[in-house]
Amino acid sequence: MRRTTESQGSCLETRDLRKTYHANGVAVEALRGVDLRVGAGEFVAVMGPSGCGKSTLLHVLGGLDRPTAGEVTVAGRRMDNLNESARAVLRRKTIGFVFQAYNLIPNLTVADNVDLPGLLLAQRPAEVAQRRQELLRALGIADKARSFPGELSGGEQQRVAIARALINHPTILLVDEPTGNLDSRSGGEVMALLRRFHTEGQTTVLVTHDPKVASFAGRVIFMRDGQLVDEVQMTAPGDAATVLSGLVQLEV
Amino acid sequence: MRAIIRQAKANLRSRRLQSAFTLLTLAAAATLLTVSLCTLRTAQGAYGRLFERTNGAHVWLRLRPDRVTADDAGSILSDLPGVEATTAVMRGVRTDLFVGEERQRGELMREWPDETVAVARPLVVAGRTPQPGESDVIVLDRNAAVAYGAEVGDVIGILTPEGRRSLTVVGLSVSAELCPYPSCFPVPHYLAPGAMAEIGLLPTPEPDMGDLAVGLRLRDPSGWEPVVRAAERALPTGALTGWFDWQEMQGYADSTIQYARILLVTFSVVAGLAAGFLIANTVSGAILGQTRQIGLLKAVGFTRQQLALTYLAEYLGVALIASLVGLVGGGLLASLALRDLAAQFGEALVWPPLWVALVTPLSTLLVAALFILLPVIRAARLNAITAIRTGVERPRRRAARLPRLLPPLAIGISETLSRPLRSVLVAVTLGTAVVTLTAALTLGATFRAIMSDPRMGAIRDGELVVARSPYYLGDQEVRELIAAQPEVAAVYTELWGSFQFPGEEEGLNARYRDGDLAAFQFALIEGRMIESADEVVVGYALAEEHSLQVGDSLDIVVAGEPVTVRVVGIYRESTNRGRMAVLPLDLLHRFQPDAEASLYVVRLHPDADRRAVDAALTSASAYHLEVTLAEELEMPDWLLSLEDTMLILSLLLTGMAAVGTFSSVWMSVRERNRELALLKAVGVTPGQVTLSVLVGTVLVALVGYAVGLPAGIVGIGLLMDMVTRGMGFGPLQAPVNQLGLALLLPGVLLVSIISAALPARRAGRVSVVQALRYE
Repeated sequence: MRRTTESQGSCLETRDLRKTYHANGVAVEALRGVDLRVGAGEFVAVMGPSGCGKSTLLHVLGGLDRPTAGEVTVAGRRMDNLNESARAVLRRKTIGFVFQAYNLIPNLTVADNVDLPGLLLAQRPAEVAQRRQELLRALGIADKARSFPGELSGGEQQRVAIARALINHPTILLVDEPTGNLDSRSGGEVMALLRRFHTEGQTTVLVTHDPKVASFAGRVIFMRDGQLVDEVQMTAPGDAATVLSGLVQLEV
Repeated sequence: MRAIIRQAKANLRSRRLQSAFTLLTLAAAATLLTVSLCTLRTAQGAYGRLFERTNGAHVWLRLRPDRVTADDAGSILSDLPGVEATTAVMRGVRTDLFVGEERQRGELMREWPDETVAVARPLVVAGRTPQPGESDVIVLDRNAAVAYGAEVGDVIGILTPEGRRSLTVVGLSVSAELCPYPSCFPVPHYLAPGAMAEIGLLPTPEPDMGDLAVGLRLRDPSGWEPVVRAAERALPTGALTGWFDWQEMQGYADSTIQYARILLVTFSVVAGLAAGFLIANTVSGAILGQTRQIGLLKAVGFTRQQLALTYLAEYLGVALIASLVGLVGGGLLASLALRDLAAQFGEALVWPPLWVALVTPLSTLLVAALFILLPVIRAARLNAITAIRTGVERPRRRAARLPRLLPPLAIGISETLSRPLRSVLVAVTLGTAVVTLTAALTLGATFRAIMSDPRMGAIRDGELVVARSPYYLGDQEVRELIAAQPEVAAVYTELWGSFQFPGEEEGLNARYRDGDLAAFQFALIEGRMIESADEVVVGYALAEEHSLQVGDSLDIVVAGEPVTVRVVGIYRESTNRGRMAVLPLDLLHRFQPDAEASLYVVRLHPDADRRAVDAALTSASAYHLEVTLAEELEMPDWLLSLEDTMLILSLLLTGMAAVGTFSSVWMSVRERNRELALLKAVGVTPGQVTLSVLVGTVLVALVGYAVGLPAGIVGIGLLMDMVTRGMGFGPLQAPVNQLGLALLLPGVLLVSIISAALPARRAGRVSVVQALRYE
């Protein structure tokens, strides 16, 4: 593992990132030379139509999947050349994940779900519990600590997922369609929370196809056919019209 | 129906590996069931089957050859009312056999019955019958031959008035006349017709060296009493010396395998339960793992009944194949494991009988059907959306608190606790294997203790048992030979005789003893050994039967004379089901002054060379003394065989538990695919995931061990105590095989780790991206 001089000042950087899947003997290029740089404290949204490679990009950035070629550097550490175990260790230290389907572990309580990454980092249980209480309080679900995921609403489950993602003070938060399974009210609340954590300094990369969700970001990147094709700097949060116009230009 | 069949076929195709595991587990369960049923069948009624096969005699008479000739006896007995047919009146002569270096004393020789005899013909189980004119061949009793280490083709020796003569063993036979050797002795061996006179056994050197034996087949199988009385009246006075009936012999034969039967039947019940648990765990686990699919099928229009039929078709098909595989496998295993037990009664192979061939598949299918329907009905009742979203059974709330331990331990423990039913079933399966292994090990330790511990009646190290051949060597001569050995520290003598209770016809065996009894240790349960001529030590069963206690006065009849003796002890007697007594030889001498001891137990000085004394006595007696050293005593073959059988069956059960554990962990990993992926997504390494699965399995194995070990020790202890009390040996504290049981823990853990290794490795390799993509 080496620290690259080029990555100084950025939380996350990719160079010529490629990912090819082989299904039934057919090669599918999901990522075709993605160069991305996310600075510390940035809130970046990745937008694009279904099948453009958004989720694949997020999985590769999070070390859940290995690129076929190219480099990924997270918090100054190359991730693409690490084995699975080393990627898992790096992930637990530097990355928080929020999934569209919440993906909480069903047989663990809310408290245990949130604590798990902290315990994996061998932090003291008392410290983990304190951080968890702070997060649950901040997310408005402090009273749900003893509940099981199946007993919560979708919005509440997504808040638990956010708490779990943030328990280890990750360098970067990767968020995949956070409102995809939520009603508009719950979706709005979740985005407000993500926005709040960003204003407190949390670097965030969000993948979505919803212009309204993307409009909460500071920068919106557009993808098509496995490539980054355009980007828009947002001047005001929630300005979905700007995102929509960028999207329309992309389609044209 | 077409949709159901298509879906069932698709399920089987898409889950080939899981179907293979299910088949393997069910086949293992069916194997165990077959072995259990074959065991039950073999252990019960073996004597009765031999009796039927040989057209056995309902009553056997023993006659004195100096009071009646064989021809006269034959014509008198065949004319008695109630007698349907008789065996030939067979002349029996007692002599010694030499098999290898061993000398077998007092063996009973007869001539092979003529072809016209249709009743109680001995059954040749190996080799052939001896033909007229073959004076140098012998057919040995099969069970005695196994104990002596003789086989067909071996050349053995026989003692004749002219000295030792060689005979070739041409066959082995069994019969229902007597219970199997060594419980019954002497059992007959057969020479060729006319051979006894030719080799000099007839006429006998002593008039009481043999007898005449005849078996009567009766019209009323239980009406022997009047027939015997009629025979007594019809025969010359004093010609009839004894008789026994087939039901008495059946009782002895059953008691011969009573240990085996009780233990094997108990094992079979335990094994049958384990098989049921395995089936339950495998099938219900497999169905629960498909809850999501059941939701999808409901969503596309399957009714509950159609769902039940789909899964019944899928799993019953697998169960049917598995039960047939298990039937064949179990039949082969049973024929191996039970070969020795069956062979005692002339049954060559233990193939599953028809009822077993029907019961095994039916019960496998029935249990499988039960455990298919329960989870399917439960899953089918779920709301389709809930089933699709929740997938497998929702974990129990109370069990899922993440312990504050290292993450892999915490995850493994949490997973184990959150699915209590499955964990309990796996623990029960492993625990059952631990119970039976514990039982088998304790059983072996108990047998060895009985063989080696003087308090159990074994010869103590440093003692010799000297037996004389009564026809060739007198008691006084033997006493002088023993006294002449300077290494001898103490001697007591024994005569095997009989006594009766007043007013009872039944004669009971007694050990009449004298000598330095105080210098020896005996298997006393209570009290002490006899010290004077008016004392008795009674066997445990006799004490129980007559409510005798130490200090009681007891009226008995010795040599036809009434005497009163005082009970001074209760001891463990390993023969005659404990219905015996130790009486002073002096007491017998009052009424039979010429009664002579035939057994001498000798204690040597501590530094004496036992083998030198053995050689000196054997040589000085011209080989008419048989000397046994404590270290030469070996466990009887049937005990070794029983121990082996128990171990084989226990290991089979362990193998099944391993398969069941593997199958259960494999299915659990499949069910938890998404959850495992999530764990990896939040930073758990593949190694930690693998470790967590192993931890969960080891935890369950530990529970199985913790429950199975004490259950096994207590269970076999109670069983052995019951058996030994029933056999008249008295209460028994089963010793614990500490080393074996200590090794059992790492053994069980190893089995659980090996069983879970492959699924655990698969768990570690779960692809996060794929698992999340397909959810």
